[in-house]
Amino acid sequence: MARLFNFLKKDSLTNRLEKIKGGDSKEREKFIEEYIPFIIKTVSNTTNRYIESENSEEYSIGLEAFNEAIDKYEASRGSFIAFAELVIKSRVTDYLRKTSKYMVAIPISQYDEEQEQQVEAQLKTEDFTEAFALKAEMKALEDRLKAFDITFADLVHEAPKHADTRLNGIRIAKYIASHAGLKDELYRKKALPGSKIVKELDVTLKMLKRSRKFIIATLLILDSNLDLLKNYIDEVEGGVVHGVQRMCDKD
Amino acid sequence: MVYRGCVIKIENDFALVLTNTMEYLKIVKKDGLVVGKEIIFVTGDLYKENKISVRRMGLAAAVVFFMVFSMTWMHPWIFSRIFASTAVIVSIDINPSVELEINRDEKVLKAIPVNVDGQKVISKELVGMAVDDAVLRIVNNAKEQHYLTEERNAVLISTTVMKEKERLDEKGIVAKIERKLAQQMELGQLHIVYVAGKKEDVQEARKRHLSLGKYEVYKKAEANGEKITIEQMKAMKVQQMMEKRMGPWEVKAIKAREDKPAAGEDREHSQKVKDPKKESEKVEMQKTEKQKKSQPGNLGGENKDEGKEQSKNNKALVEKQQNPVKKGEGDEKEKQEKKERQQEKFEKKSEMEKNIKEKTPQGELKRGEADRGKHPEKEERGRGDEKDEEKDPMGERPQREKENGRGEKSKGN
Repeated sequence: MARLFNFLKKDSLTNRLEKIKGGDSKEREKFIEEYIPFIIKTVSNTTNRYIESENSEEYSIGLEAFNEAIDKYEASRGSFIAFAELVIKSRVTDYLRKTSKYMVAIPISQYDEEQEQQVEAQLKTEDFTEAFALKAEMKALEDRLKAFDITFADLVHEAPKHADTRLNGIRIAKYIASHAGLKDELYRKKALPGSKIVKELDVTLKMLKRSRKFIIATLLILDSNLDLLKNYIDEVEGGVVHGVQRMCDKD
Repeated sequence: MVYRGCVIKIENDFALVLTNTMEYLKIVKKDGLVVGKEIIFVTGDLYKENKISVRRMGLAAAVVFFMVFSMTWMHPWIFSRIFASTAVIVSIDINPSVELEINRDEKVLKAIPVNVDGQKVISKELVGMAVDDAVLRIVNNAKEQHYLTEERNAVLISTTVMKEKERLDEKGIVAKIERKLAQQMELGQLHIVYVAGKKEDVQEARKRHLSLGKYEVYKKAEANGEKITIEQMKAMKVQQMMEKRMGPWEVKAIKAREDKPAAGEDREHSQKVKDPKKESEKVEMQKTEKQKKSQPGNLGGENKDEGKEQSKNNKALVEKQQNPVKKGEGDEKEKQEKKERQQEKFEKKSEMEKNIKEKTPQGELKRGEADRGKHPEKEERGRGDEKDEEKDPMGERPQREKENGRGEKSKGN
């Protein structure tokens, strides 16, 4: 049965590929979108780095390579996935070789205009001071969490898994952040002002207890200078839990 | 699934990320990870903590399995059930009495001395030996310690099958033992008496500290109405038993390969004759045998055993003539032993030579062969006899032996 199912699936895959080759651009977009996780994985494995959300040149190269793979693929060449992986890998490797950071110094005069811009962009993102500031800020957050006897590892295990619960936690954290009295009490007592929150926000004590660490961590993030993380909180709290794919589209 | 998140901390084995959905996750480390950087990763990059624990669990399971497995195999009970279960008990009485427990591969598992003397003839080396080798070793030990001599050379062997399932061939084991003894024993000759033991008797025999072979003889003697106690039985040497012709001796004796008839003849002249009928029968039998042998046509059909038997008969006859009082009186016999031995040598030789013309010389041949190892003097004599015998086609012998073995049994019965 499973084999039959597989067979049908494969059939649909080849069918779709043929359709795309026939000139169906909408189908192509959809198809690429579906395979984004695969592209990310392949690129990431090839470079042995995580793709950075900003300046993800490798990622766009991967996308291009995947697109190329669709055009060049023939059923006689075996599995499409294997073929696409091969194409992406070779393209990314080519790119890495070309722009290797460890390449011996080249006089800027040798670059043409386009390349010059690229180098500039690279230098810009690799701003040491910025990276250092971020690091220091993150360290400060960790220290403050420590005061509450919370570590990041605790958060991995104890932060609520369910999106709704997390949303609720964020709501509570924001509420506390916006009420100076509550916030002071929290810092002073190193504990959530449980009774007040329950009264004012209509949440159960059980929920409060369970996501205590998450709420405190969120509060501390809101109270810090970590714009990116604050942005995350806003995104989630705004009620729009962005689909990653949509974000990828933005890229 | 694709995640987007900010690296918040880098540990030894993994990195911690806070995703844009406010999830805290662990991811595997890759090159160029920097705290505070936003990255995109997929489900495959998530750090699996249970990856290690699964491995550990597998290891633990393997260890546990191995331990259970090895314990099962090492467990003495199971071990004994599989490899070391006693299939047959072979008892050997001379009068050191020894019992050998052997497994289905006819290897000795345990050598149990039944009496004090028995302790002297066994050693640890016996364990693991093939049963025939072990018996040979015991017989040789007994010979070295003078339990067995040329004259007192009766051995009682019994076999008891403990496991009917194994379908062991008792007779085969005995035959094997006899063959081995005939080949390699250090004695000139042995009187082997074979008794089949019964599984049910094992407990009883053990309780009475009697060897199985002796117990069987005792039981049969009792059945025949002979008055004998266990204590007497214990003290008695097999030689004496043979001379006293206890219990069903005669019947069994024929199965044994060697000269029971000699004992029978001894009996004839002793005053304690218990079974005149049987005796007379035997004499008759012997006569007929002699007649047969004297017929030239029969010569080819005769075997070593028969020849041997006859030679011994002759010897016995001579002994009778010279020492009529001797037989049946153990003490006297023992005193006279030395003299007799010397006499016998001459007697034997002269008798044999006389008999050569009349009878098959094979008996002498066998004797000669058996003696060769131990007694150089005899050997020479034996060889002298052999010369005559060698006229016989050698190739026929093994076959003849078999035939005769059978023939003799039937005659005896």
